[in-house]
Amino acid sequence: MLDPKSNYHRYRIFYSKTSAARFIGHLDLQSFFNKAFKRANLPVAYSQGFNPHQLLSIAMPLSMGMMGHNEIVEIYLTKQVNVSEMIDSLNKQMPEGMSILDVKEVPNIGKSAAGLVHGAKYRICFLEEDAQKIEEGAKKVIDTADFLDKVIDLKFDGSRVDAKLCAGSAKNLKPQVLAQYLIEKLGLISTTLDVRYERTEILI
Amino acid sequence: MYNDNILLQVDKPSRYIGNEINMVRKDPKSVQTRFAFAFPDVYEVGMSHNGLQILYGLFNSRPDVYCERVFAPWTDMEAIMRAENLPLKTLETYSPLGDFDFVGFTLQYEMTYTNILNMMDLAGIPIKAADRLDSHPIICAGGPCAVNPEPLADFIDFFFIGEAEEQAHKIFDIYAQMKSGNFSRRDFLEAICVIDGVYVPTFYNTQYKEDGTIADFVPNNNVAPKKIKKAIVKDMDAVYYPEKTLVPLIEAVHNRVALEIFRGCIRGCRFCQAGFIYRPHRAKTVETLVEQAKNLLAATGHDEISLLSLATNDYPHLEELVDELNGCFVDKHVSISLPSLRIDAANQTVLEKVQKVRKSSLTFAPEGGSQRMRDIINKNISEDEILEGARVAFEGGWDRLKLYFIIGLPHEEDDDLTAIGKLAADIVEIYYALPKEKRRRPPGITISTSCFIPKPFTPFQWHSQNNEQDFMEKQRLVKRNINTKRASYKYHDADISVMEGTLSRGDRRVGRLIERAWELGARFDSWTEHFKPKLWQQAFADTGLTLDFYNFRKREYGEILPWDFIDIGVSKEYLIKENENARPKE
Repeated sequence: MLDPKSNYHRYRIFYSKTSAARFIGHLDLQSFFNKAFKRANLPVAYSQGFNPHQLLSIAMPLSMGMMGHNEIVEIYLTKQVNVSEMIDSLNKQMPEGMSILDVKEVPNIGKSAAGLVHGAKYRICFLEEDAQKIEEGAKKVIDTADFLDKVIDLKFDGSRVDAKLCAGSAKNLKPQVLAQYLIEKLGLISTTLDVRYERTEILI
Repeated sequence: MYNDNILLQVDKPSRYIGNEINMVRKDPKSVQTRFAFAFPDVYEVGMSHNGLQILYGLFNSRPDVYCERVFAPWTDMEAIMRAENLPLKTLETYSPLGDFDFVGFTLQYEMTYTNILNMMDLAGIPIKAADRLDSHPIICAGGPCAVNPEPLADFIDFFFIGEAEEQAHKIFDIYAQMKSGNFSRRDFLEAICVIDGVYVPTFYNTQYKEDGTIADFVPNNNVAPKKIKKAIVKDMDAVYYPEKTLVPLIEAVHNRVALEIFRGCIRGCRFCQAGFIYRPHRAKTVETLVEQAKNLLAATGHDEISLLSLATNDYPHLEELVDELNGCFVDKHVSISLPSLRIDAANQTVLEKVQKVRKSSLTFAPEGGSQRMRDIINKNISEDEILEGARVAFEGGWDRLKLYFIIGLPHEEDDDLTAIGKLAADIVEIYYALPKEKRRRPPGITISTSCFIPKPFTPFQWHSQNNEQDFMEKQRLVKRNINTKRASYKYHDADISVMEGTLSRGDRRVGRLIERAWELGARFDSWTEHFKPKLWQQAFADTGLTLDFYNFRKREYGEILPWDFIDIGVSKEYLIKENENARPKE
């Protein structure tokens, strides 16, 4: 049987999720998108079967409370649409804290964005009081971490860490693990509740 | 917004954030009247309530009013608010409730009453009307439980009894006029107390007899009417209905377009308060409903339309409505659900049409297990009709049925209770009588029993209620007599139902009980995991009130009942006649 998706068009949607919207959890986000696509009147494609659902996939879950500056969701449509019109109509359906940054039509065969994810960039902010300890000691303690193979790149700037970490099904490192490690090894003043995370990019 | 450290510590932070789709944004400085619509339960429950959506839209349709929302904070949030001294705020502008002209509580079920006091207290507003100053918000309340407002009389400045869609404008207009001049709270209350549905408890005095019953209930203010007339909307097609409704960003109890197809009920089930207090029966036209469904689906993106009413198949044009809705939405992945369905063979075509899109589970409410009991409660449905209804549902492909019953009804005997299991077994048998190709899997029957609570304005309002032990004994009897493996049994907590009985038929003195229970820590009493019977027992002991007086006593027809001053539209004589008609024939 021919995959019905071969008749559909796949769109990769880039969006941000900040301020109040960052408290929408992963499952709620999915149902939020379901309704947003309907309100935007897009010709969304549905799965076959007893309980059809929208062919929609979010590339990578974002932790509750974390800001995402360049997140990805993919959707199949039954018809081709004008991408800039799609951006406009979707933006009208976004709550405060979410906006559609870009939409690209991608080939409808091949891996989904979720399957392509291999890394992600995070900005991790500790309390400013911890700047000195981080600048002096972070590099050294990371070198002996057992998750070192999952760290692609790190940049330190005061109490801020820009981290490029492995993500996806093969190798995955959560920024919280990195932050927790630094708090323990460096004896930081910041507690896990004080640390702020932002995901700046998903690498696919 | 509360800061991140707080939001990340509590369960479901979205409860406290707002920012939903279709949330109304106004500049509070640009309006004359700020109204906080307060739902005394947790966010996901309150946001599923259609009355909130209607009144939120209606109030905000006035340019001079900004209506915001506030819900009861969950216990984890309350602990943080009290520890850090944070006031309760609305979701729209994060304003403390003290900043509002009005705080309006919706009274959907009695077991939220302690939450009402708690919300006022968390906002720093004195809980008693007598202790509030003109600088405090005016506290009002409405909804089905307002038909007996007396247990909350000490806490609320005015009640609204009945349907607010039309009268609300009069109240806002008077408030706007008076606000532009100098007025006291009392002037305002005197001005509105003549409007249909408005009840200002402080304008009335109650005296009691030695036996505790009411001797006298009279106005102490010349302008206050002797009887309060329930407000009714006459034309359901012309009445306000929102074109947009709020869409929560977290999963609410119901995520769907609610289409109110009619108000009132043509049935006269004798235990059912809704059947009496929402009269008369008024339906919307198919044309109006289809138009409203289109607007609401476009504005929300929901994938389900739920037809709301007290008994869906009493809608005179149900088949036509379902046809029209199917025609409009069948290609758009929208399903139609019919809660409140009666088992009735006439449903067959409608059931078939509903299933075109997606199947939801079916709920039937025979209420009484035996024919004798169904006759006592005036359910007007025979055993044959129930079985035929089940057969139709099974034929249509539904194999999950929920059956609702009430235990502890007046004149009940053991045989009425054992009949519940028998009925379930007969229904299972109907399933296995179907040809094999129509049976995909074994059927599932869920039997639920609730505990009878005599309610004001029903023919059973004079009856005594069972006590907790009676209810539990009856639950065991029902369970022992369910002999089919295909049926499971769920029952409502007896202790909560008994407390609800006190609050439903309470008088003004019950306010002390509520206040005491709240002081002792009672919150979210409708939630099994939060209901603490010991606190209420303590509150009874501390106030000297008794269950014997409020729950277990049979009332005489001649007694002045606490809610007698409300004209609900059904006469006491009629209720007496119906109560007499309920007596089983010897």
